[in-house]
Amino acid sequence: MVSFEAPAENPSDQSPVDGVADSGQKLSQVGSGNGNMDTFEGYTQGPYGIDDHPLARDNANWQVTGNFATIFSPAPCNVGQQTHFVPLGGAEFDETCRV
Amino acid sequence: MLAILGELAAFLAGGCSWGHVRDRERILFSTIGTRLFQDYVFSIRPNGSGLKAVLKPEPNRSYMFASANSMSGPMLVTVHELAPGNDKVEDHLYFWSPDVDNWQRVLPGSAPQGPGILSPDGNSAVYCARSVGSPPETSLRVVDLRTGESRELVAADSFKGLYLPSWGVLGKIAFIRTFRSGGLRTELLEMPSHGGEQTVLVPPEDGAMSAAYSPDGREIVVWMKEGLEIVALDSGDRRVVLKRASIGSDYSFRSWGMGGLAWSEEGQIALSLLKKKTGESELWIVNADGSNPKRIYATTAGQILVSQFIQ
Repeated sequence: MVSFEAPAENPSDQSPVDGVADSGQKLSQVGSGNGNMDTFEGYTQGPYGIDDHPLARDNANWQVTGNFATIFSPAPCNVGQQTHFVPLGGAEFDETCRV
Repeated sequence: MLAILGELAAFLAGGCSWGHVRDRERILFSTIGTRLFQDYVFSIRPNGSGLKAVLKPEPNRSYMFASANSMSGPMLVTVHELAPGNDKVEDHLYFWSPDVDNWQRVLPGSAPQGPGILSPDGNSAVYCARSVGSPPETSLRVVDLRTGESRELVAADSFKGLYLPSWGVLGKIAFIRTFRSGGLRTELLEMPSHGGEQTVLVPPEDGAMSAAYSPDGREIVVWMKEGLEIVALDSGDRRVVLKRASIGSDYSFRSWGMGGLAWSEEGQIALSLLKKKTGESELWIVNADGSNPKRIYATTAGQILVSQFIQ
């Protein structure tokens, strides 16, 4: 997952966010794929705001959640959740906090 | 004779321009891929010709960012690579000599490290060092590349982020500091590279996102609320080079915490913009006087991250 935040002065721009909790759950396997993990948890890391999960199974449908409450108190944006197909080779899930 | 033939070849390959510096100048940039280990380092001429892959990803390794003072000289490269155990990915700083393809770790693997840029003399580098903790903290550190000794330049603060250092030829380092107060705020600061007092160059209300020094170190170009602006460092005078409104509301600036802008000896500024409607990441060039803004390259395979102009 890659986490971003829209700056208050430039709401159309994006700045990376460090330390957002990300978690994923495989919903269904479409065909044979790589990897051996059906769930993952972690935190995005600065300065890019990226958290990679190299062992997560690909060629599968995943639900991925980004929880900004780990770094904001009180959290100004809700937990973001996306469901996507992840092809062979992997995919990127972007979550942007817009206040 | 060989030198003359080389110049002729460069002249023909460079679109038949007699501007020798411009012919030799290239923009160094990386593309942050949309999949794991799909991050490349490229170079391209400012006219958009001659795209060259400088570093191509490997199965368990890719290249997030590179900094260099010349194409043939050593490069400071941020390598994104699989950690022992194969279950996580870490960033490590390497010093790469392209002529002999020699890779050398800059810091021990256990030391906090992230992307960095070379000093103008190539003897040092400033880099982001992220410690593991909750909340995470990032400091800015300077490493002497001859001895491997590292020192803290700006201490970590749990409530403030430190990003995007830029090193000017007059011995100053500029960087973006972020904090939260009714949303994410950003400010641009400058300090001597050997440490000392920090000066605010762009206050939070102007929303600085990325900056790069001019070749003479007397000005700095900044992407901020109004668009691309140049700040004179002695007087504080500012002028808008590229108005955000003039390029349209479909464009946004996506920071990656490092790089983002570059300023050439020839007076051109390079930046990357994200076209929201198509998802294309675009590399743009504009003259420092604001004239002739143009898109020179675009891709959907990753997000362009401008590093610098090199020869």
